[in-house]
Order: sequence, then C-alpha cells, then structure tokens
Amino acid sequence: MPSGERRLHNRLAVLRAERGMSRLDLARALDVNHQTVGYLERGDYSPSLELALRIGEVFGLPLEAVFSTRPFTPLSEQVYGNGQASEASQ
Amino acid sequence: MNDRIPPGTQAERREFARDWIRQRQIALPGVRLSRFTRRIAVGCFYCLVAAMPIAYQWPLGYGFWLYLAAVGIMWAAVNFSIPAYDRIGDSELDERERELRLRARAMAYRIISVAFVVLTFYFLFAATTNFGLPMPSRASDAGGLLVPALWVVLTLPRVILAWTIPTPVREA
Repeated sequence: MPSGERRLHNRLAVLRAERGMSRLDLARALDVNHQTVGYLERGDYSPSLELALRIGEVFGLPLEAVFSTRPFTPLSEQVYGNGQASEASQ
Repeated sequence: MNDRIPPGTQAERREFARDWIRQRQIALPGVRLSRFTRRIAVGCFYCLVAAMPIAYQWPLGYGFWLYLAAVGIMWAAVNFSIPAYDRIGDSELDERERELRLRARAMAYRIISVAFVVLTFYFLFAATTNFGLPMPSRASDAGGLLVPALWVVLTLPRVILAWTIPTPVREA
C-alpha cells in the first residue's frame, strides 16, 4: 500500500460518477473485486500497468487523464479557469 | 458477481451456488471490522497466545476453559474479519488480492525464519554457558513453549493479512 511511498492520484470516482457507474459495475467491467475499485479510489492501492490500461479502456480515456503522480486540479477549474468558474456560476 | 440463479440442471445450479459462495468469501469478510479494530483483535489474540505457557500449567477447570474460549473468540474475530484469500485459487483473485496474499506469506516466512534463528542461538548459548538463562527442563515446559510457537507459525499469514488490509470500502 502506498502509505510512505509516492502516491498515485486518480480521477476514478469522478469518472465513475459522470458515467453513473457503481463500484460494482466498474469492478465487473475490469474483472476485479469491488473492494479493489474502492481501494484504488481511496489511493490505498496503486494499480499495475495492465489494470491502469484496462481502466483507461473502460472510460475511453488516455492513462494521463485518469492517473497522475501530482494531485489533479478540479475539472471545473480546468474547463473554466480559476476566476471564471465563479463568474459563470453567478 | 452475478446473483441470479441460472435456469438449468440441478448440477449446474449447484455449481453456480458453489461458485457464488466462493466469490462471496473473497469479496466480503464475514465480520466487517476497521483496520484499527482488527489490529486490537490481533494484539489481544497474540497476548492470549503469549500467555499459553502459563495457562499450560493450570489445572483443567473453568479458568482454563474460559481461557481457551477467549483464544477461540479472538481467533474467530481475526479470521472472519478478512477475506478468504488464502483458501482460494489464484485465478479467482485479482492482482491486488494476489499481491496482498503473497506479501503476507513472504512477511510471515521472514518473521518465522528470524525467530527460528534467534531461538536456536539462544538455546545453544543457554545450554553451553553458565549464565543461568532460563531453559525448558521438563517435557511440560517444552510443551508450554511449543504449543504457542505452533499457533504463531500456523496463524501468522492470516494475522499479517488482518494487520495490513485497509478498512473495507462500502459498496456504492
């Protein structure tokens, strides 16, 4: 478990929520235990390259869109920028 | 995990039920405990095991049976709070589960090897020197040491799993 090691950040929870998938659905698509999906989301487990590629395939996204060695910035911030996001909401 | 019983012969349904139970054993532990609670159970269990040489001297009475019941209950708590990774074949586990099982076995093997070497040197040293180091002199003393040692050897891989597996994630 990556407690003292470098942590791999991911967007699994967001991507899953966007597609209306439960952990169980994603686990079935990946052929893993649903606990494994939960641990991946929580950052308690870093996947192998094969599993990471399979996750990318399920979401139809490149690896770097799902995983990163640095914390992800919120998607709204990426789309609208920092100040524009609050302006757009008003 | 497919929960619907498929139409088919009785043998096919039985096979489905067996497979379903096996998958359920992997997916969910019998008792859902947090890692912290599991670690407390592991600590209590090994404290009880460490007290075995003392319990070994007790006469067969209520105290002894209560002690045995406590060992059994703590072992059950440890045993059923983790998925059955070590009772299921590789093909039915995913990469994380296989890694956890492999790591637990490797760590248990390392701990047992080190303990074996340390104890061997201790007994050699105690037997060949006159420092008055404690040594089992009677068969009952040796039994009182061997039985907990066997418990530790046999339970260590599962105990390490119970110690290391993170708190289970809720189904969502």
